[in-house]
Amino acid sequence: MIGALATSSETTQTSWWILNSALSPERVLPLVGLGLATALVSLRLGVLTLVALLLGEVVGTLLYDRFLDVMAGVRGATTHAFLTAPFSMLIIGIVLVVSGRFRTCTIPAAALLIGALLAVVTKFTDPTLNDLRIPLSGTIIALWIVVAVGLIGRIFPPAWYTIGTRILGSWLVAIGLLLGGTAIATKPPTTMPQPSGAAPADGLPTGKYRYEPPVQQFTRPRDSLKQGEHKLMP
Amino acid sequence: MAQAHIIQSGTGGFGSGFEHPLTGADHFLAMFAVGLWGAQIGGRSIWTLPVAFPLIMVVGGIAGIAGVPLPGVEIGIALSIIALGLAIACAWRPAEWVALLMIAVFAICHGHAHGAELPNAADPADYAIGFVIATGLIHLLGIGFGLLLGKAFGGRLSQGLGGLIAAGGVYYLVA
Repeated sequence: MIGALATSSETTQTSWWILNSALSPERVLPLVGLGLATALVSLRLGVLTLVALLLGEVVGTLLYDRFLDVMAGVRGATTHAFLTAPFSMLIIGIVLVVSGRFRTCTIPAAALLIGALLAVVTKFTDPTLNDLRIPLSGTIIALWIVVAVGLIGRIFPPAWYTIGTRILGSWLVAIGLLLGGTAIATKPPTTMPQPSGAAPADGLPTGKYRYEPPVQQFTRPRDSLKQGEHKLMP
Repeated sequence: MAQAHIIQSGTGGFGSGFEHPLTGADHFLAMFAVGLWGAQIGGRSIWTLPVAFPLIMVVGGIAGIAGVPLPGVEIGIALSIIALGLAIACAWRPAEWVALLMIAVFAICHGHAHGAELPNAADPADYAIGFVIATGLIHLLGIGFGLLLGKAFGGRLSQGLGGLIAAGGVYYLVA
């Protein structure tokens, strides 16, 4: 019974993580960009890009602590998933905007970096801490997005597709800069404690009436009549 | 006060950011005009103008987020609509760098106005994503319109639209 409940709870946590982290726009957009980029290169380079993405996930898992140490000093990083989303978007956005020759050279490197950042954010947001289903789900979803977008992208005429991907790449760079700018440039909200009077030594309220009633007493004209004070009729 | 630049504190996720440029006519007109003008100029400008706009816009956006003051932003936005509208109406085809320089100046104004209100959004990250995607889609709409219907009536349809956009800019300058 307990085992069944535990399994159910873990499944719920995995589902929650998939919906709230693995499919969040911050994670999906760089992968969509990577998928768009793979459609711009040869099939062989596209496969190499996928391998680089997987290799990057391994590298990111191994260098997780080191990355967090480095980024901990950056303002706003700890509250914004260590800026993994802005970095990923900037990397793939630049790859999409630049010319074809540069793109061909940089796609595998970009995939490696994005994979590493993806592994970092996966581990960072993992609610179970040790459930293998979380990184596995994240990897499968990432591969699925890149492959699906990459295959769809090959349908379009190359000339128009290149124009479209350049425009989309500029959006990714813009989003990455805005996300990073929001994290770094925005001052965190400061919460000040409510001002309160010093507590008396005996713990009781101070003032003229130590046991002052919450509502001030008042006497209505008819109250005196109730208490037996009859007025004589004229 | 320009229409697209009012955000209530505590609101603003992806949906709010996405609908922001679509519901604010001043921003919509400027973005549409950038795409339309790029298509009208033709060649590389079809994509260089819409690519340059968001890239420069974020510079203004980050300045706005950081609280760097930029006086006359709203006037700059209204002037951007007028200038872009007139460029289309006159079918002006300047050198690429001139067009990019114009776009850059206007993009900083638009970016600053939106960046200044970004920290007020409940979820600035999702707000920014929705906002940039909607902006890009308006660019694409302008490019698509320019390429598909720009040649109709000897290009007069695009020029007429440019005139209407410029008139809209005058309205925002006066209002």
